[in-house]
Amino acid sequence: MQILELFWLLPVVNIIACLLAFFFGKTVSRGKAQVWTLPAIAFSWVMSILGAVAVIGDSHLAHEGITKTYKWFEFGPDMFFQMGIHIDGFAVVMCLVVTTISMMVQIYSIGYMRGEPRYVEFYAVLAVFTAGMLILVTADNLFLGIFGWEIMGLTSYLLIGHYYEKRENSNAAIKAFITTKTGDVGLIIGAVVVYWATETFNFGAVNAKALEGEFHAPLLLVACIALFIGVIGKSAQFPLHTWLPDAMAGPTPVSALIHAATMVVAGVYLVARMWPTFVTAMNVHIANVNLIALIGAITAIIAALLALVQFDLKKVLAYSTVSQLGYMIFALGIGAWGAGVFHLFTHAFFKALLFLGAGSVIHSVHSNDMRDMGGLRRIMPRTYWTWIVGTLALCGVFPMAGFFSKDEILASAYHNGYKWVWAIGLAVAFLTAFYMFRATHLTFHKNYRGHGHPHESEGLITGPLIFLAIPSAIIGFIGAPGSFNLFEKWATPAAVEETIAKYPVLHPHPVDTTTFVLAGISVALALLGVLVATVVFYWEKTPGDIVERVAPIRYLHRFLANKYFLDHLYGGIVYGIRKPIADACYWFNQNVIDQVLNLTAAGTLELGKGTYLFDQNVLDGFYNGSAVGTDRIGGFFRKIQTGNIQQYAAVFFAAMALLALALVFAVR
Amino acid sequence: MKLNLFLTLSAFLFCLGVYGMLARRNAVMILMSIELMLNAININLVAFGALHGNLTGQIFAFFVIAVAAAEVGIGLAIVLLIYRNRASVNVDDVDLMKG
Repeated sequence: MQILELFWLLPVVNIIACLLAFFFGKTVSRGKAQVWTLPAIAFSWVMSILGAVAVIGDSHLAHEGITKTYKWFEFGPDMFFQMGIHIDGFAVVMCLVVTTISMMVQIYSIGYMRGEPRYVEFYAVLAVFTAGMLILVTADNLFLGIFGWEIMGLTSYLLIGHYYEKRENSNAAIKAFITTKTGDVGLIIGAVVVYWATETFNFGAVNAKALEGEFHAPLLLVACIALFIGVIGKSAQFPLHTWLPDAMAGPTPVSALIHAATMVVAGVYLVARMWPTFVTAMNVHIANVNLIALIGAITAIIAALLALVQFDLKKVLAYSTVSQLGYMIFALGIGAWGAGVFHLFTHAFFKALLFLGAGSVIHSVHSNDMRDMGGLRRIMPRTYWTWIVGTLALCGVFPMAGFFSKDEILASAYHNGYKWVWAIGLAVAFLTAFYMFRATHLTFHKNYRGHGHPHESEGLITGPLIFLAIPSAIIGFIGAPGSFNLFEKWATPAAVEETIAKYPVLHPHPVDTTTFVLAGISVALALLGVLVATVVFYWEKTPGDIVERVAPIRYLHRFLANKYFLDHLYGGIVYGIRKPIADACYWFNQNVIDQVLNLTAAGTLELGKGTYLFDQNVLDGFYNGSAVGTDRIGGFFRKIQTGNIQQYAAVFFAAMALLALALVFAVR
Repeated sequence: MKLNLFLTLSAFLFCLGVYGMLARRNAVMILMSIELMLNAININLVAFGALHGNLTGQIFAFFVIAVAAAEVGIGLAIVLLIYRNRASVNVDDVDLMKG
């Protein structure tokens, strides 16, 4: 029995855990809902580890994967939906990421959420979220994938609005839901077009048809653009990125799990899974400009700029996440599949670590605002050192995990001919180092500026931090460039390898002096960012009021602090569309409908005068007579009219039952 | 034929719905009971559709689902207004139509 064939158990056990927690969490386990969900996630984690071992041992299995399907439901002759899993190296990697982060977050939440309202529901939703993500990454077809995708959309909404007593939190939840649903319209259209053109939802079959040119080219482009709109919504790409920073209204463990490490990479996963299709549709192999690279690059740079002016610790990380998601998307858009997915893998660990670290700080300081922090290095040493590991990994400093994945993306951009993407990527690397060390200095260095008495968090909170710091520090080595790149060897599906083999531009680049020079440039820029941030925020060498005094900087700061006025723009668009329609309706009502009504009324009046005479003399006599009769009958029947609808319903059903009986006998 | 199983399930759900509709006093629960009955009908439609091997039953069920969505939308709006005016969703309190 092959272990990978049992991977359908992963989502199933988590769904069962959710139900158990939901129904028995308050009664049997007396509010300790984690006793239901933790065994499920631990089981899934062990399964993922075993799966990874199996994949590492068998490269054929890692590339081809195994598929198990059965017919889900039929909707016509030879038309049916399948439910199935396709597990290859890539899917195992994703399962490993999801289960590891989810397990750490659930352990962390025992400490973090203790005594919070709706603790049981929190765990139940976390479990079903994990199940949704696992459904997406194990699914062998787009339809089932969308199923998991939407489960995540729902749970994201529920968890962002966890503290729904505060109006802004429930508004943030609604905003996240509506924005991602806007993208999901594209996803559904894309899925339907894919089915229409290829008569299958199966990822493998769609990819194969696209590669062999059997996918009608215009339809292919339409399908991929539509699917990519879904990705833009889910993975918070420009211009639908505005929901993710607001999603920080949820509890911090949720931000770590859903809005940093797993759910928001669902879009990246979809592009990676259908990469051969996207490459063919968007002509990624012709190094120029394509939609995926463009959107990814724009997102990466604008989000990094926005992170510079935030004072909310979680919002810095949120914009950083948006920026890094842009990195992954443009990596896929420039043809660097392995690098993009590897960045997804490493980013999940260190961004979850950073978010959980931020949660530890917030839990201790009782504020999100970095202006109330400072000097926490001595008070919270474990949080501080793990935070430093995460920060260095995010900045891409050797030998942390982020160094390998980020450099691989940049080197691929350079080699594949996307020089403009490479330049933007370098700028983002500099900005990333700058804003992360700005946050570090404001939070942990200098003197404490808050009012409370912070203390180091308990073991349940720092334990997951230390656990996650280990992969954040060392896991990059499995993706070292060239022949050492074990990650690409294990995780690349066969279809992706075919695509790379087909287009010369995408061939892996050799490891030579250029590689080291490129790596040197990006690390130097990152260190420069660290240096600038230290000069400005630690040594405070610049005059503090530079923002107020220099006009261009002031305007730039205002522009960024207002998030490019995008929220205003969206509000304005909705208002702008609504106003003319309402005006037109009002005009039509006043001028057309009213005129018609007035004329009708005048005519009716004249008619009425004539009728009045006839009515008074002839009809009244007749009607008065019948009215007396009606009154008596009505007097009898009004007693039946009790006004209670349930009595009406009872009579109705009794009558229907009698009618049914009569029918039965009549037919006989 | 497994048809009987579906019909039994459907009848069971329908009776559940009828009972809820007649016995519950909460207007929201009554609306939910109506949904239950509609879905019982859907099961019947789909089951017979499968028996005849064509799509008519399923398409009909889709229409029922669409109508049910509209119905529950309006129904809940009415319940909400009643609640705002009377601070109660007990149908016994709503007997303005009493003759």
